[in-house]
Amino acid sequence: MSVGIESIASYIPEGRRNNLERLEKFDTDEKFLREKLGILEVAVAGEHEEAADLCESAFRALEKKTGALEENSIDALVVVTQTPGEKIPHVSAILHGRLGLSPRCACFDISLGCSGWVYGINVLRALMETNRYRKGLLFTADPYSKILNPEDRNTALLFGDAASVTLLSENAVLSIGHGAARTNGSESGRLATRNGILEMDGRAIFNFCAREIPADIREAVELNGTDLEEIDRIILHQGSKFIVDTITRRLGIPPEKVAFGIEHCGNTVSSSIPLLLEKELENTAARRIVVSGFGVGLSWASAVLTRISPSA
Amino acid sequence: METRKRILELMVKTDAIDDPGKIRADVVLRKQGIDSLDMFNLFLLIEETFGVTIPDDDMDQLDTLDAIVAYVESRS
Repeated sequence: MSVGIESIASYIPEGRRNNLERLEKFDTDEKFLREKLGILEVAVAGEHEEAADLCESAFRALEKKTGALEENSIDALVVVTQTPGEKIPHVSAILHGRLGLSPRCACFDISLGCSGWVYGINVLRALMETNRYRKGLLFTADPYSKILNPEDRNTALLFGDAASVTLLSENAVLSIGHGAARTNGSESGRLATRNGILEMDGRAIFNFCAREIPADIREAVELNGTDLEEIDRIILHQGSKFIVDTITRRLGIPPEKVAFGIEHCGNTVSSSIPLLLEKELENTAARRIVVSGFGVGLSWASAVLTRISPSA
Repeated sequence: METRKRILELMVKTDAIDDPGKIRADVVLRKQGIDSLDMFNLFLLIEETFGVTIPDDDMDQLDTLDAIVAYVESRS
């Protein structure tokens, strides 16, 4: 059997923090917000809205697309998060309970950040194909608003809250090709929490992205027996407009191939790729799509997704 | 002069500036429209082009073209 992506849904909380209202506070200007960050406002989860709540909202959005999913039909449920709220039990178990799923459903969390969705689809796909699971759900939800310092210019203007859910099944629209998954733990301190607050070494993260990601994408494309010219769409983790533009430039690819869309939500961590991929599912012109996630760990992963049916 | 010319070419490559002729060598680059992220990009390209390493602690002093040229030339 082979499993791929059947559907994606997302949830972005209603709350917003306006970056334009914080220009003076952070000694910056609108040109920088638009041309470098690409973020005018960041989404903010409600005070009592934790990762499990965001996931549940994404699931309800999925059911609006797919129709109700029978509880016994879900064989695996995985949540990618590093901001679970309470640490125990795992968010996927909480969600399992809320959705009333079968005891035969495997649930676990994956502790990854911005590379998490790409790692996650590979892990879940492998699990499903090995165990002949028919339907699996991969959630991403990392409400960084819970761990940011609102006075930190490096992070406060960047990160937003959201959740996504990806339905993997045999009834797929996109197949998941070979991918690469990498780590550089010696640099893990560059993007980490200290005393529960996220700190980021902007220069180190920029250098990491610029140096590693273009080569990783080229390797993933080659692993799948194709080349960059055959790729119709590239969805990079939406770290910022500057990061996306830099990687695009260093790859030497036409910018119009590369998705960008975080002006009104911010960098939503592991949700940033599925939020954009959700829109591409209906784009039948996008036959081969590269996805590349990178960040916390430091870790990175790229994959090639291929449209299965021209009518999808 | 070669180092200066190459660094100006790298500035153009970062998209931080259009016309290298407009850069005043002794004026702080941030006041000439080059922001902090442009500087990250420039330093990365300088490291890759000249084979030098620019530690974080040295970044603050490299705020003009003159300072950057002198730094690179002393370490190349």
